[in-house]
Amino acid sequence: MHETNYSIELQDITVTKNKHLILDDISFKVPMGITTIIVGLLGSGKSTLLKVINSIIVPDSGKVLVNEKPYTSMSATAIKTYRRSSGFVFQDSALWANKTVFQNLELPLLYHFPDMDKEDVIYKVKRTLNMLGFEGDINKRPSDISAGNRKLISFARALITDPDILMIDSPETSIDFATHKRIISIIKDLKLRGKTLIICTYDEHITSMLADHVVVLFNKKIYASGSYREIVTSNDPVVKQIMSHVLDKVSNFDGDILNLINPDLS
Amino acid sequence: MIEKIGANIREKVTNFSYAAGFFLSLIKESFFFLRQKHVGFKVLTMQILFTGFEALSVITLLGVALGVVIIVQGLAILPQFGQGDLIFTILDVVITRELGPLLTAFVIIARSATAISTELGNMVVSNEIEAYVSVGIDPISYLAVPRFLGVTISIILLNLYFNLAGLVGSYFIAQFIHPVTFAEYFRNLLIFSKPASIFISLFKSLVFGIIISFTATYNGFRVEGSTTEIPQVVIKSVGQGLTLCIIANAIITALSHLWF
Repeated sequence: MHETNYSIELQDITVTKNKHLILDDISFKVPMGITTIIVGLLGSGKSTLLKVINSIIVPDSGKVLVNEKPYTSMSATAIKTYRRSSGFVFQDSALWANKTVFQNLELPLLYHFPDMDKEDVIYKVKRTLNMLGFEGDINKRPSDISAGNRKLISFARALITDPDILMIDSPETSIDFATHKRIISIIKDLKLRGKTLIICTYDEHITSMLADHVVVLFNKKIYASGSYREIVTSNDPVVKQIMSHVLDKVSNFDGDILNLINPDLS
Repeated sequence: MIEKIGANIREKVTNFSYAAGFFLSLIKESFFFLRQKHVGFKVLTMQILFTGFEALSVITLLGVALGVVIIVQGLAILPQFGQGDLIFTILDVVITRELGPLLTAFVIIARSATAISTELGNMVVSNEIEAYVSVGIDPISYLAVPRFLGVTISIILLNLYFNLAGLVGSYFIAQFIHPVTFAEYFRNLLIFSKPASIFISLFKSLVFGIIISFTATYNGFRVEGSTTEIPQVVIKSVGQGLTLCIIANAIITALSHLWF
């Protein structure tokens, strides 16, 4: 298992937006070195939770502890080092529209490694894109490439600094079948390399094939949390409903059938 | 009723403290920016190009037009009262001290403040700001500071250029209407102009630059998630920029009369 130097813990997190409660008193320690899947019904706050874990969104109350220290009290240098070790893939890709594909990947490198040679930057950008299977023109702007390619570039931008922790928001959104397969294989590869992955998804393939730990969001709170097996075999009606929604009724199978499908789960 | 007033006051205090915090961050990050090998230098260059260089033609036109009007009207009216030399004092006061910095500021508000607020607002809506945070880049340091410095540097340079166009360029145009000898015009301009006017003019530009770039970046970042908020923050940028520049201009003019 890949060892990461970081621990992330949420303590009593509450988030509101335009006076609407999005997350209510959430406490959660992110399991490191494994794949955690966040599931929940539409509008349950999955994306917000992921952004809070990554400290992109500042909660109204509560703390995000990185290595047992509140993120807000970390020094600029410590934050910079932490950001280099954690990546985030946005649901809508969120590429910088006024930059080319190359510049979108170049910027994090130039920021984190200001002394890196221009040739090394070009090499690293091209290698990352090749690794992800991007074959488009790197001098095009995001608006000139397909949604699937934008998603791949978003992955590349998050992975360019080789982070230990990767948070992925709905990787299955707005992509074609081929890109979907490609993205699953990228996530599988990251899992095999022992990265800490935190993914919010509706995708039954990603969840059933990759989840080690599952967090179920319901009614703005963490309703259930546990190993993949514990969650899919749960008899709780809410968990069953949410998991059947995500896994296309896999949770309706009993434990024995699950063992037949994937003996490693037992 | 009282609850509503209280909530309103609380919101105003929160907004003010947020704006004050943003302003302090902007100043602090500006010092760090100039000291570091920063990835935002390209953004700064582009901002100076857009705000400073691309506004040269408008500033030239305004400066020359204002200078011509003052020279033509002044030379037609003032000699009738035996005050022909007063034209140079008027040129100094109107172009250098008052309208130069103020009209330059108005042009920058119309061209750059609106563009900055729109661009930043769009970036908020499309999650691009969050993307900067996710890779570790501070949006204030990378996006706001280069715009803050770019606008402030550009407005100072444009004001100097406005003065040049208003005092020198206008002379040549005015020759067609009311001929004055070149040597006489510039000798009198140097005699009747006060050195303090240049200092006051540049100081005003510095203050206007800070006001315009601060209101534009602050309002741009205030967009929360909807494209319909963008025109609203642009209107706020323009309104606040104009109001604060006019107030600052009046205060600096009043103080300068006490000190100089």
